[in-house]
Amino acid sequence: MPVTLTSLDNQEFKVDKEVAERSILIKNMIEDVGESDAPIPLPNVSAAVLTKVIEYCEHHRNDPVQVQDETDDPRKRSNDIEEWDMKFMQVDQEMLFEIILAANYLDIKPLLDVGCKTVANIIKGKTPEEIRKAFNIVNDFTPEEEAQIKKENEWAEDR
Amino acid sequence: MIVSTPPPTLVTIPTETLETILQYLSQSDLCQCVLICREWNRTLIPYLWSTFSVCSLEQARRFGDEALRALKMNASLVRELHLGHRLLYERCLPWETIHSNLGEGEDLVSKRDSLVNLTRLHTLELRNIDYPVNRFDARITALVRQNPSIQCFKISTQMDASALTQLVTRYMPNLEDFEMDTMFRGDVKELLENLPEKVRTVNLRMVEHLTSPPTSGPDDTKAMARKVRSHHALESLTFSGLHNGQEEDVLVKFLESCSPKLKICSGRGCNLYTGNKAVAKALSSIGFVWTVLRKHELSYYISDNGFADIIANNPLTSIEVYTHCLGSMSVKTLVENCDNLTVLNVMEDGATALTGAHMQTILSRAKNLKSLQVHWLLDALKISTEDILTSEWATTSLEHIDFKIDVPRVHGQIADKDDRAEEIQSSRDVQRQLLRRLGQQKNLKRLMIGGMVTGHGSRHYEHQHNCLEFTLEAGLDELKDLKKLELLDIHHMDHRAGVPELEWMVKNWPRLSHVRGILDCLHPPGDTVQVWMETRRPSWK
Repeated sequence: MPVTLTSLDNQEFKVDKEVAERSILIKNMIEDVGESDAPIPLPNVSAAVLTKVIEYCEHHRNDPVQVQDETDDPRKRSNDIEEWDMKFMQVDQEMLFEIILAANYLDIKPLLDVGCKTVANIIKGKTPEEIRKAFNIVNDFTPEEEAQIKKENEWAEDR
Repeated sequence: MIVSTPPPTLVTIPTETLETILQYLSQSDLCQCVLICREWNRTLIPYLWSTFSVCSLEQARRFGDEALRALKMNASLVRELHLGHRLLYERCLPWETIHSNLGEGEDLVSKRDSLVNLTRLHTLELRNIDYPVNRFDARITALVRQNPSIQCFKISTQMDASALTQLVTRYMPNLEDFEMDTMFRGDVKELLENLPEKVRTVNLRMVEHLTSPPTSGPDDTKAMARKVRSHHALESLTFSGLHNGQEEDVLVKFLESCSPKLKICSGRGCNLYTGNKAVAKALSSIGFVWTVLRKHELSYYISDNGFADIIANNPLTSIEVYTHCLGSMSVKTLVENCDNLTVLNVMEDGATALTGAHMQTILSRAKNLKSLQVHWLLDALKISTEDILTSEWATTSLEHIDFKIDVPRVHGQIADKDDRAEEIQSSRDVQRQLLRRLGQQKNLKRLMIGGMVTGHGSRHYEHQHNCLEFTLEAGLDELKDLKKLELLDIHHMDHRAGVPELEWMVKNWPRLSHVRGILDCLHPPGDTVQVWMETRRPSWK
């Protein structure tokens, strides 16, 4: 049975129930309300973002429930993103963060994880200048301030 | 109407989401991030400084005056402190006005002291300082006394035993995890019995129990006053170094102070727990049952019947044992009680009644089995393809396979091979079926089927001839779903893996980092494999 979702900008999306239920938020809503034709309002997600999120959920509709990785290592790995997910995440920065916010709001943990890993991968191993370029950020430190901060924190670098 | 809000960025997303991202970054990455701009700096400095960890000489040298000033400024942000170099002990630990005989009420650290704000630690790790004992005791004590919040304490730095005992038993009321990886020559009994009551895990690597010299005062009143704290939160005790005969004296009272929460008892160098009647009795008095049994807990000389009893009477899920402990009674009991096994690790030492067929039975019954390790030299423990293919495996959660698999292979000169095409094809079909079985274990991290076998009835060890070819023609592609595979061991096997197979492994196993035995086959690999190994995968170990 299909479910109707309404985006922030009042567009309606019809999706299969099992696809929509990749979102724990929606799953719980459906459980609370019971079978109903009424559209489910998602006032925090725009149509553009919801389109992407639905694309993800369609692709992963048959995935088994995620089990928590029992690694003791507090630093987790981010180089294990599946090929399809990697391509899916090739979007501009704004959309990337919008997807992360939506995944957080809709409670879609695997999507949230992939989004977070993607952001981490943009930062990993880069110089500050490269990171600024990647995120389109202007450096508002004076050269002296920057040198000072570097000196204060460089102990933490594991070279 | 749509209200337009500024697009989200790293520093405006919810805190918990930011923290998820930061889990994937190293300290070095964080170091770069605080240089990006003021906004990032403000948001990320607390995360960078929440863990202060300087453990190498190189890092210690980089810890200059500017950094020390920054440490003073950011001391209240530090939750985890890991010190691993003498230079840092001298620079970082509070020292002004410290003397070793501080009274209870005295100010611990002078207000002028640099690290007066280092008071919010939950983790303290002091590592590897080979320095005369007592050198830093007073400083360490001062640091601990201003951090009653410490929950996790790891020490591998030499300290005076009674100073360390006092530190742990008096000044760490919130201690939950305690790990000591340095020689402790002192009153182990006093240390254990007075451990804080919240302690959850205790791991003492090298203890030598020396009874404290009698102190003044009549002995009777001392004995009356002696009270063991209760340790009802303790879940895991790991312990090693006691000389035979001391276990009883040191452990019995302490174990009686624990509760059924105690799930793990482990120790090296003494067969503490199953070898001593009084200790075993103390354990059973608190309702302890073994779920995890490691080789050190089992008496080396345990009888076949004795071990069978242990298997029958304890809900074991993880067993590490030597072959000679597994006689026919214990093997029978093991197979009967294997349904809930997650780990079985059998190490070679002497004759055993265990065979490959038993292993297959265990695979067909233990639905949660994660790790099946059988030492590679064990000829009798080879599992034949026939064993494997005649019954299903109950588990889909295998992470670690370490056993030898016997496969019908066609040998002989290349010239013969044209005539034996059918035979070769039939062998490959069998291999493919077998690999399909392995390929269903999608959680597999370590696949170890390498190692020598005994040849032709002799005790002479040689390459395994009847092994998987490990080629694409023989079904390697059945392993394409092993996305978590980290380690492949095919050494001393007469395999035929070449460049196409290596390329395939790189493409299909993203996490593969250790490979053993590619150049180790009897059929010497061509130069192309050599060149490939040298140029394409320098990161494989």
